[in-house]
Amino acid sequence: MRNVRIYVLMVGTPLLGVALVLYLGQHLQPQSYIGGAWNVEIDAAALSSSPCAELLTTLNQPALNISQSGRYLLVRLNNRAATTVEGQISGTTIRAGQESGFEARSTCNGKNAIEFTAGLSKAMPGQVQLNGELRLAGCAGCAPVAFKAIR
Amino acid sequence: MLKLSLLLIQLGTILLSARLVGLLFKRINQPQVVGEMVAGILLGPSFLGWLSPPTMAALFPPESLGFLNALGQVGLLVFIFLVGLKVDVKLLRTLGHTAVLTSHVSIVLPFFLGTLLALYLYPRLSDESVTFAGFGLFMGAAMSVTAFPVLARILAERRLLGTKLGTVAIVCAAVDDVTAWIILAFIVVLVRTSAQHGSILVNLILIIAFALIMIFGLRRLLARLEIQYRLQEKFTQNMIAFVLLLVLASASITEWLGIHTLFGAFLVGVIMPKERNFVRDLTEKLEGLPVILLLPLFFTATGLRTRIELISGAEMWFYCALIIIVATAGKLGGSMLSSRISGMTWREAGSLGILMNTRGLMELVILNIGFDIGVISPALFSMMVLMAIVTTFMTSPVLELVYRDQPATKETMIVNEQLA
Repeated sequence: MRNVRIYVLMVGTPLLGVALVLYLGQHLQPQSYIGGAWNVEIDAAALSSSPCAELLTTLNQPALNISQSGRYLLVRLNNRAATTVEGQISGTTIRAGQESGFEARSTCNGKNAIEFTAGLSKAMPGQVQLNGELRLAGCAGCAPVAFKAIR
Repeated sequence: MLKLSLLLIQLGTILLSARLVGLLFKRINQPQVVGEMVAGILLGPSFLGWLSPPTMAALFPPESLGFLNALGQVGLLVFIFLVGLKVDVKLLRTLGHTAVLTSHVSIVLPFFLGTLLALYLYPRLSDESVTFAGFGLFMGAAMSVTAFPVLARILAERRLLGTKLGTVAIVCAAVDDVTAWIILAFIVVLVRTSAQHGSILVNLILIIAFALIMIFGLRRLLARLEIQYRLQEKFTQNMIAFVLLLVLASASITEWLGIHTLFGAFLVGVIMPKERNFVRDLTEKLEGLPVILLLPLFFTATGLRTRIELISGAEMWFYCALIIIVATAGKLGGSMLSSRISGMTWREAGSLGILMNTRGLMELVILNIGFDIGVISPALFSMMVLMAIVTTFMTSPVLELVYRDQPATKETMIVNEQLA
């Protein structure tokens, strides 16, 4: 009888725990899914004075590839340098490449080459869209340019 | 089209690195397979790609990975069949109270802690493309697996097979593996059918029907194979071809049923005759090429997916550490506590817990399935791979500390011909 009690306690309790966790988990709010390849529309001419303008002029579609791990993003531009920046999604807001010292750095390589902020919107059922602004490194005086991305 | 010369260079590089790192790990008292796992990661973006991106790009261009991965999967298919071949279901009938409680607790406790951890990780490392049920159940299954083949090798190397500790460990690992595969099959069906808006019930009925046909129908046919083997006193090429055909057919059917090729291979292995010489000879015939050459391809494919750079920043490393702690607490702690309550000494119970915490190759297999069906994200995959390596790597040295130079005594030896 003691063995049965121990068995029920040590096996039954965790099983009940699993059922409870699965119930509680249903109410969790996951991050929006933005992973995959995106076609980007951008007016790169406004950033032509930046020494890093080539990062945008050599873009091929789909220009943006996002590898998503929950709220953590790895954003890769489909350009000659395969520019890759880290980012995060919070709700419907995406921020990428923003690290301290962005303005001061002039290098066109690495994690500080670009930065962007975008909002996620569901234009039509099954179609999501990113609308935001993008900046290039080494061009503190340049105004950010608007872009639109569709998956 | 893939150039043959590139493929040969890839095979040579992978084989050489797997053997070299494997041997290096053997010298520090680690199972060779741990070294081979690490070699796979060294060839991926986490090391070679970081050290010399052009070399990695030239050695593993994206268009070549599909073929390399397919070859690795063939090796894995044969390997998983061999794992199933070594699982003797009859052993479960010999389970004493200790093994029953320990094996069940060593599954449900880490499973529970895995799902509990999923509550915390789901909003952080997953997204809306995965349901919580799929994510939580997968985390549970991934936490509760034990590497049956690696464990058997560690026990053999330390001459613990046949002792009470060794027997309980091997039986528990076998129960854990079979249970983990059944749970995983359910998760794969759950995720795939919900993605295709199909009926889970229909899929489950078909899978159960297939398993029953295999167990009660094919088993009789396999008994004839065993008779043929006894008459011939060896495996002929036709007999080997027949076994391989069975593995391929079963793997294809389970893939068609919406689970994974590996389930079919494992099932054929489990229902094979378990006569000692039969198992030994069949293993010898099949394990050479797949295990030496093709299995490292799977490790490399895993290494190419593992991107340690995705675990960046204190927050991500905290998640990684948490995963390792929870995995160890559930498996090591659960097995130790239950075996202590069942009457083992603290020393034996601790050693059993350490042994059961070995995840090794089986964990990598499960993680790759989870990654393929999209249940785990790239960063979580990399964290879980690190967890698999850490928990496997720690087994030998920690066991050495707890169970140092403890030769099997007459009191602890039990007669078990199948395990000896």
